[in-house]
Amino acid sequence: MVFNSITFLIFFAIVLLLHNLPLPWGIKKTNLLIASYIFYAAWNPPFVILLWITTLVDWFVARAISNAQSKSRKRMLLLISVAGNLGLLGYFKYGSFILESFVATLNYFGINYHPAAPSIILPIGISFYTFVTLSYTIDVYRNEVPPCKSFLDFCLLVTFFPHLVAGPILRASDFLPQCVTPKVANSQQLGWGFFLMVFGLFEKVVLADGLVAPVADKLFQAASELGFWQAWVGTFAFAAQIYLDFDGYSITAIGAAMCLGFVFPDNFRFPYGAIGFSDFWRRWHISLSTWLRDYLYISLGGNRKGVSRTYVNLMLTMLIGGLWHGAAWRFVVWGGLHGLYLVTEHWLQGIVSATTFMKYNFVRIQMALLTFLLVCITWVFFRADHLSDAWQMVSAMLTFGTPAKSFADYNVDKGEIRSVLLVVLTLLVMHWKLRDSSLEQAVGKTPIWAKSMLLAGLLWFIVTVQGDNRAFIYFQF
Amino acid sequence: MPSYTSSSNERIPVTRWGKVWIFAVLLFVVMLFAWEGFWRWQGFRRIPAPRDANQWALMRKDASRQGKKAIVLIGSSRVLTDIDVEAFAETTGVKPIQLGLSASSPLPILQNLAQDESFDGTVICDFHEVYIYASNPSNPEQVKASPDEFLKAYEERSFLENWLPTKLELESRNLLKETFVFQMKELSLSNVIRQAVRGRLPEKPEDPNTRVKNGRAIGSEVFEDSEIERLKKYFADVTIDFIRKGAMSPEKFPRLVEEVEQAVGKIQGRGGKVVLVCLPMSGRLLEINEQYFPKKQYWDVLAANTSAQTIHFTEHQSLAGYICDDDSHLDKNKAVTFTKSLVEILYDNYKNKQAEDKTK
Repeated sequence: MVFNSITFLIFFAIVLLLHNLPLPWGIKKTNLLIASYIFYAAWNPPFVILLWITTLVDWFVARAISNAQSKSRKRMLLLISVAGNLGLLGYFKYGSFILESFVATLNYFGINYHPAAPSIILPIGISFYTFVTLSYTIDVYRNEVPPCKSFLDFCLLVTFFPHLVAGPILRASDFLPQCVTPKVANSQQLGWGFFLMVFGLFEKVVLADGLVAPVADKLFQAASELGFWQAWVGTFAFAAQIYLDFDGYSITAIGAAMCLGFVFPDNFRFPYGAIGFSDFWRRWHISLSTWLRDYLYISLGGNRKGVSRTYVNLMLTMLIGGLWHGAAWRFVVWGGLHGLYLVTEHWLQGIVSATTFMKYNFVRIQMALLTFLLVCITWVFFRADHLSDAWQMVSAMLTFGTPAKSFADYNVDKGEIRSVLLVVLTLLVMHWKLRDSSLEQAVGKTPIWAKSMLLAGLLWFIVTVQGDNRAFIYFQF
Repeated sequence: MPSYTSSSNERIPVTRWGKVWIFAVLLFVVMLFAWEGFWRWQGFRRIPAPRDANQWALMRKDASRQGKKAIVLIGSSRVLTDIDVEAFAETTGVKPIQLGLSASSPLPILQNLAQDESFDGTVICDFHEVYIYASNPSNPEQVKASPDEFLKAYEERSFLENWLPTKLELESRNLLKETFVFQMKELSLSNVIRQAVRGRLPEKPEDPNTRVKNGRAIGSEVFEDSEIERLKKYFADVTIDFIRKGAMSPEKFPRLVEEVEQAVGKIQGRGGKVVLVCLPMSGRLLEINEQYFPKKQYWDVLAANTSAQTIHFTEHQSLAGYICDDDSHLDKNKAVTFTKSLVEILYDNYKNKQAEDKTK
């Protein structure tokens, strides 16, 4: 079930109604849990069993860790959880990829090996809920979170439908305390929650699907033969699409949770206004970047073991972060590039003091633009169908590649190009203007009549635009 | 910058949200009707949209769900135009499920029904030579004979898609599309912007219900004489082009018959029925068909080697003599009488079969 469907609207209306009935809190939480399983089962019911397995394993393992007396036993139990979670993720998400890479390596050395192609369906949202359960067990192991006392609350942490399939990746410490006392949204939360849902859907349905995605699709289909301008327009279109698609999902999820009285963490903070890559990763997919920081980068030693080790840790974290997005080498390259950017940035910070330059707004804008352009290059690897296509496209972008065909040959007209450039320019300006602020602050400063007009406009666009009703990009991860 | 774990509750813009929402919804309704009114004032009128793969998939699911009483129509555009579903329902009391797809071979759909153990209804299959032989077309650009997209939508539908919510989703979307002019693809936001950049409004599509006063209605469209002539030529050209590519020959034909019979056998083996029907053709198209696919070498061979009931329009007085305006399809009025005659034949055959079974 996707947020941008009438089915979801009906589903959400029923859930909201049930949640606002005068029922005991335990019953309301059970209703939310059942609704969440229905939400997930709408895609493929048997995969609910996977959710149960993950939930049960981490529930029992975390309790056992908490009760274990010795450090070694705690560590062994943690290993069981990590192996269980990553084993599931590895099989469903990376099984085919590992086999394909293995076969390609054998073939490269002249060994003729052609096993039957495995038919593995990727369970939707597995990367997200696996990280939720894993973080809970690690937090219990580190004594940062006490083991959850209510199985119902823990199930809800893993399964609560607004975050289930594409995040934000929740932490036990954020969510479980909210399950203790009854939660029903007050009028402020309802008003703002619905506003966020409309805003998120506008980003997804109107801007991402309606304006930029068709251009990105058409140009990336011909990624290997594009010229300089075509490659950049295609990349800009995708840069806008992935932000608007994923931010749209996250904001809708946060809004839906808020309408039910729950608070979710933010997932984006105007990332295209970032100056540098550390700043970018503090603003982009925040729930993942902080997860990787807290459970991978710091576990590897972070910056505590010297400069060289810090660089290695950064690279490893970003490479694994890349692979988390998908089982393909192009995601590894995407992560590797971001790792390289971060390492270079750290290295430069070590030899050049940027504070004198950075006080000039002009320099800061230039740096933000450079960051955006370098991030755009990484998006090519993220979006292209094949690694070879991505290399050719990046090559055209960096070497003023001559186009083989015109935009019109790819069925992209001037109006579409202008739409893409307008959307990207608006995003850049807005992200720059609001980089030290928040959506809440921006809306808070707006007069009531302007809020009403904005909402009416957003609703009007959502109803009148005719997109392709695409699924959210991050569902595939 | 606020930490990501900061409570969003503390950052909710405090305002009179009730007031904001009431004004917003009122304004939205006014804007929506103003937008609709503007396009209607510009002369835009609703034209029925072609059905999509998801709608087809739901109807396909109905075929399985209805079990023995299901009557399913499969075939290409001829089954869509020549068999009038309402007339069929009026005569038999059963509304057939129309799974026909324009310019498409019914063979993959017949095979799909055969594979479906839950399907044991009746299939009426339009055996259109050009498309039935084009299940594996040598030139898919020329002959879009594969209903893959539709079968894929059926195979890949999710669990809930068999349920009410998805029907509701499709029905609501259809209702929107059928009610509001601004839902026409010509008035999509991207097209309106594209045209506005050029300083003009989107072009109105021609309305088939009003553009020709004395045209001929075939299926859901109305054609004027010059278009009819072009269609005749088009159908003749497609057929000849396809034949030239050698997609079918008397040597290859038995293999096809075998494939058809396998599917028929499976359906009839579990109590279902299959009727293969050759629907009327006229003029040049009929000549071409007879020249390249002589009835004796093709249809008669098929009829002799299949356990399905076969009905060829030339073999029945009540079905023969129909003139197709574009050589390939019957117009709306003829389709009604043709359907009633076809039902009579089906009913007679059914009675004869029952009598035969009793004698045995």
